[in-house]
Amino acid sequence: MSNIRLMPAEDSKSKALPIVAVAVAAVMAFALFGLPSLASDVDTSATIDSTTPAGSPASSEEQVECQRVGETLCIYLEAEWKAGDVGTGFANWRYTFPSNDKGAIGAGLYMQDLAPIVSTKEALDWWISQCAGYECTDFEAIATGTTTNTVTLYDGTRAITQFTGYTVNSDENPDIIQFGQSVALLPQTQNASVVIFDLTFVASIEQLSNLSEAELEQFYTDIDEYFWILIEERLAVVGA
Amino acid sequence: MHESFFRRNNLAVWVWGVFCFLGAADFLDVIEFAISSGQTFGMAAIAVSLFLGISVIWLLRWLDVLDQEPLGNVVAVVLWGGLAAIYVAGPANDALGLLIGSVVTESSGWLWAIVAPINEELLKVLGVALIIVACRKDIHGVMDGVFYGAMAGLGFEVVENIYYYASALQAAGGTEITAGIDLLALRTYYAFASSHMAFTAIAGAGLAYAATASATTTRKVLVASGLMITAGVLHGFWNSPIFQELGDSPLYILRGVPALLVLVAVLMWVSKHEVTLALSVAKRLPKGLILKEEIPGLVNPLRRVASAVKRTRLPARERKRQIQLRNAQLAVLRAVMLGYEQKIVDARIKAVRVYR
Repeated sequence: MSNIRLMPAEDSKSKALPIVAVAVAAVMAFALFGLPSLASDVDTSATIDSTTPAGSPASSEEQVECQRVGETLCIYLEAEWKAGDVGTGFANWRYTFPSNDKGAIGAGLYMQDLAPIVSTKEALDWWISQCAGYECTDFEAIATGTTTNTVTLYDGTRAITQFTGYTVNSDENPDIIQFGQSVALLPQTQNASVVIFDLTFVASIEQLSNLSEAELEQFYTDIDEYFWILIEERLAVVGA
Repeated sequence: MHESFFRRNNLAVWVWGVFCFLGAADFLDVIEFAISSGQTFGMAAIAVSLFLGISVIWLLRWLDVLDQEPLGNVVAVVLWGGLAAIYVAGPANDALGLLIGSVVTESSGWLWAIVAPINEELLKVLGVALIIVACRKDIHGVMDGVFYGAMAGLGFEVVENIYYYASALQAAGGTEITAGIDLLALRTYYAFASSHMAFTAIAGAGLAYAATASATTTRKVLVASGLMITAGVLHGFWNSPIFQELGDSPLYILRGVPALLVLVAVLMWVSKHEVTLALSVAKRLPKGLILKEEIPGLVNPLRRVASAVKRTRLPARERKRQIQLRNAQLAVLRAVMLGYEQKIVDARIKAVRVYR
């Protein structure tokens, strides 16, 4: 019962005040600057699979290094991706603004439905095998209502890239957003396209919501730029 | 005489000022966005949150008329929670999330149940530590730690809710308010008192115990760290994915039940011991000054609340006399407990006799 007996109040000018004040300032400063600094140090080896979509082929152990795009976008590539095996290619990514600690991290820069494709040549062969009965070798871009770009591949094949828009994982309480671009080969004789290359970024809505309008715009611009780099690298685009 | 936190040559005020200033600048950006979005909801949500916060402070002070903490000190600790702690918690949470993200993934639902309690409970309670050390003469026991902890949690809660509303607005492009209204209902009405206020009140109790109790250092460290860890675990439970399936259901409040139960247990523990302590002090005072049956109504917060409600039925003059008498009795108890000079104790005893 006596364990809660009060001690006489100290004089507030006692030594405890400056010590506690400095200690509080130190803890606050460490939380504000030290922790983010530590986190940035381990980023290059860290696993960031925070929003990995179910069924995606993410394999954290295989993320080996960060491929920087400008100062802001950092892609952790998996071995399969680096090897060009885009059928299982997957990468985690982190986006940060140098001016502050805001940004977005996520997993899911990945390609879909591309198992047979490892090169443009193989892509075309695969495409041809898929479209028996059509004039499959006569490709051209078909404009759609969404943002598209026509690209010409190294062998003269034309394809379109199409902004695939945004999807969220829930209508009521979305916390993940996906956005991306597709490259589709389109025959003249049919309206249906076959996606041969689909890039999807998955991000946390909460993190993106913390960005200002200007930062968000910068983020999308940079991501879009990275899409183009990948499209050009992977499909050997020679003209757009 | 109260000891103001905002006084000259108080180093703690500078620490408080720097971090609150940084937090205020960030908070004003959010307010500006909510207003510039032209959404009535955004402004209404902010107004409701601030109104609720101020109402809680007013209510607690009204109920606790016999032991009101200085308003300036209360404002200081509320602002610490709402500006300084929350400002630092953002980047700290992101960073710790990255550091341990390889061990606990976000997709498991447990990452923020671990990260947020570690950072946020520590950051909030630092404001309580500043008040306790800077205004030691005004800290009359563990209950004051509970109160200041609750106030730091209240500030954090109100501003965090506003951040959430602003995020919902921003995610919706400033046009769709459904998500924001859900958040308002969930966070403000269902779970207001059972989250940050309760967590930090529990942690604050430990800190005040370490500062005021006559106990061994080991015991103080154990109690303070034990209650701090308890607050963190309760926060983690609140954030955990266990109740995720409840979604928007009013059953959402279930996640706060353990925190409320622990808080009630802490309050009972503190009240019991403070009543015991007050009884032993009262025995040493002149006969008839403070009656045995009056003690619980003086030092037990729940009894004080009951007395305050009971007094509302009395005529204004008698109500005033009773409040003055209780204040004077409490002042005598504190002067003896805290070892004030005899002339101060004598002056307070005189005041009790006047009102008796």
